Amino acid sequence: MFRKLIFLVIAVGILMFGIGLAAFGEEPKVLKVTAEAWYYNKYPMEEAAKRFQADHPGVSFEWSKAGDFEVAPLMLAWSRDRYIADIAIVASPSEAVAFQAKGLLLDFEDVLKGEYAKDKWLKGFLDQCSIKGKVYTIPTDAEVMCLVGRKDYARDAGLTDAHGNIVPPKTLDEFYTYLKKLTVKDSSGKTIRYGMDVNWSPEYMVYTYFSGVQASRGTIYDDQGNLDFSSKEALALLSFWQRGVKEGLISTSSLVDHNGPRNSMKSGIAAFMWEDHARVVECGKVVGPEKLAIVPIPDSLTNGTIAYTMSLMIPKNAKHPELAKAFVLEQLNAPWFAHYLMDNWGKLLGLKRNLEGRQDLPVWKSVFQIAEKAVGLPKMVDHAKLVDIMTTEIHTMLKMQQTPEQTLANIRKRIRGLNLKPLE
Amino acid sequence: MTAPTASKEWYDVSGVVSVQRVYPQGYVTLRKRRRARRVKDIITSWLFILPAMVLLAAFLLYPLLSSFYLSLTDYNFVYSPKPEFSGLSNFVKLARDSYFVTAFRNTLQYTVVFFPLLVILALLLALLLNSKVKGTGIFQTAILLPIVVPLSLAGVMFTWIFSEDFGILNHLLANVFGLPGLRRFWLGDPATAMYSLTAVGLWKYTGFAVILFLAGLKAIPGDIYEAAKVDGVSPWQSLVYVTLPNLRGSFALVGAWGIIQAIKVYDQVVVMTNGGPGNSTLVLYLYAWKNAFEFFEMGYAEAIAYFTGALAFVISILFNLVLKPEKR
Repeated sequence: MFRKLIFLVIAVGILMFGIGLAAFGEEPKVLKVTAEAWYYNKYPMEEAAKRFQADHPGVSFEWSKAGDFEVAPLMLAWSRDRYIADIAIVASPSEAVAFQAKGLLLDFEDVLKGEYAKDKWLKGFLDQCSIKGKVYTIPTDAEVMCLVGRKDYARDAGLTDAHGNIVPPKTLDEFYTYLKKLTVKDSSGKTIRYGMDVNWSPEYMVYTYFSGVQASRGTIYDDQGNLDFSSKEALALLSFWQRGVKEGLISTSSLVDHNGPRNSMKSGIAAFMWEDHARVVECGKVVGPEKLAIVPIPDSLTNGTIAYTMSLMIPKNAKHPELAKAFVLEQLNAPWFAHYLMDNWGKLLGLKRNLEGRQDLPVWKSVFQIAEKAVGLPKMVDHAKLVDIMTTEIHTMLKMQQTPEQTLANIRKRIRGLNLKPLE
Repeated sequence: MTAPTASKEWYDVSGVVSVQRVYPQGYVTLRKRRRARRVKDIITSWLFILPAMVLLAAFLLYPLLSSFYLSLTDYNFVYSPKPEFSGLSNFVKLARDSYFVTAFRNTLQYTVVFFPLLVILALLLALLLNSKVKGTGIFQTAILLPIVVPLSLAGVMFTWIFSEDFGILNHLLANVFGLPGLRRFWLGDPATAMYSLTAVGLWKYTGFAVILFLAGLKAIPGDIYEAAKVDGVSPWQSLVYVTLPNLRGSFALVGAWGIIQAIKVYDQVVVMTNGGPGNSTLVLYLYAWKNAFEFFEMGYAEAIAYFTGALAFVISILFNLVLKPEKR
């Protein structure tokens, strides 16, 4: 009997000890981050994690790499409350809209206070992350559409000022004369150096087109308040592109390869590139930073251009949402992190303070000048369909299979049934 | 067979004769045992195939039925609360959708070029490998190597080969063969983009078709050739009257397989052109994928997928009927 009692006491003791451990012991805090694989190559995530761990002992990180950011599998998993990650990077604004529509995202309203208050962010970029007034994502890769030009080619063509800087073209017509001067053809008439390469890949199509429209009109909307596919400026832009391609002044490498323009720039077969500003740093690493300059799209310093940002989000079923938000703000938006990205990849983050101390560099001075007037595209339910239609029709035009007028008419016809009302 | 020991006959009220056979006691027990064993065998065999049946039902039948139901609904994965039954409207919409018509036409164009070239190339290579010429081992390896290379990876490689400015193909044409006039933007020109993708498909799939033909060639008995030789048949006649008729089964197999590969073309398209430029290389499965995972229109995407599947199925059946091996 006594022996049984001893056993019972020991068993109860072990049980109590276990319960005590469970109750008072620290549960390991693992922050799981999922992002496209390239993100880990460009963004110093390990260093950010180390710094965060120093401030928050007991936190560990788990990284998951995805080939492409696929909305459907992530959405399916989160819809079924399956835990995938605490932070998901990188979504475009239209993808974020889809997640928000399903009610799968946490908003950042509770933490955007003090040094992270909304007015401390670049408005154009934070607007891209807001849906119906609430911020659901945080900018991770903010960029403005502009021209990147080769100073050495421009100098040889007599297009630079006394200081060797490229004289910005004032109109598309003037820019066309630039391209003519910069294009080099061989004896058979084949272009061996293009005046310009333009990013018309599906990823960029809307940014490229609307940056041209915004720059020439000061708005991306027509007189009826719809996205502009009818103004004379829109027609002039398409005509400029088509004529340039037809005469061999503009490369169409991006029609099948979104890396085409940057490859052209790196290999020296294009004098200008119509893309985002970040390429100036990336291509500068190959051709030499002193040879490249940011040049505003004609009229964009007055009328503006397009700004866009990729972003990160925190799902509602995150295991450590508070820690995730802290990591995002304290490290992924820290000055050291932002400066690393600017210096190495030309990418901007959203907080204004991170841009301070960089204004003296000519490249950033130009970028900030352009960014000040930049606007974001509206978030729309049928954004992906719009991109598909624009890409198809504009590519068809660039292959001389239809005129600019037909292109705009076809786009207008095809978007008729789409929901393109801005969600804000 | 044990004979009944006796039989009883009687007439019922309508005058029908009934016969009841009487078996010895031991025979009845034996029959019962046999029947029990047969039932047991049936149960055992069903139990053996049950796991496969369950897996097939879970991963093939259920998705097939479920996706077919979706094809009859109006369902946006993101914005619709649930699928709403819409009958055949998605299938009707296909006929009015010019992008779908383009995708259909492009898929047919790919099939019409890819399929005969696949059969001819594979047959020629199989005949070459089946002959006794020296160095067939090297040829065999070279022909079969693409089978192990994933098509998506091959797509990246061929994107560079076909590149207008940096591609080796244009370099060879202009600088090695002295034909600068033949340089093209192979993937960026609607006139050549689909043919370039077809070439990649042939590079990938010919090896497997060669294996199928080789198997057929090895199965032809040698004595037929010997008999033909004795009759004074020339090598050409031997090919036409002996080899090809005996490859009927292989033709049917390669045909059905080749057509399915052609109609479900997707990988190299999505990697190399993503349907562009314009819609010049948009194919059915890519259009289905875009609708499902870019536009989230699941119902419409399923309708396109079912249409494509049905197309492959019907053409394969027709092909098999035409080339059905003769019964001996």
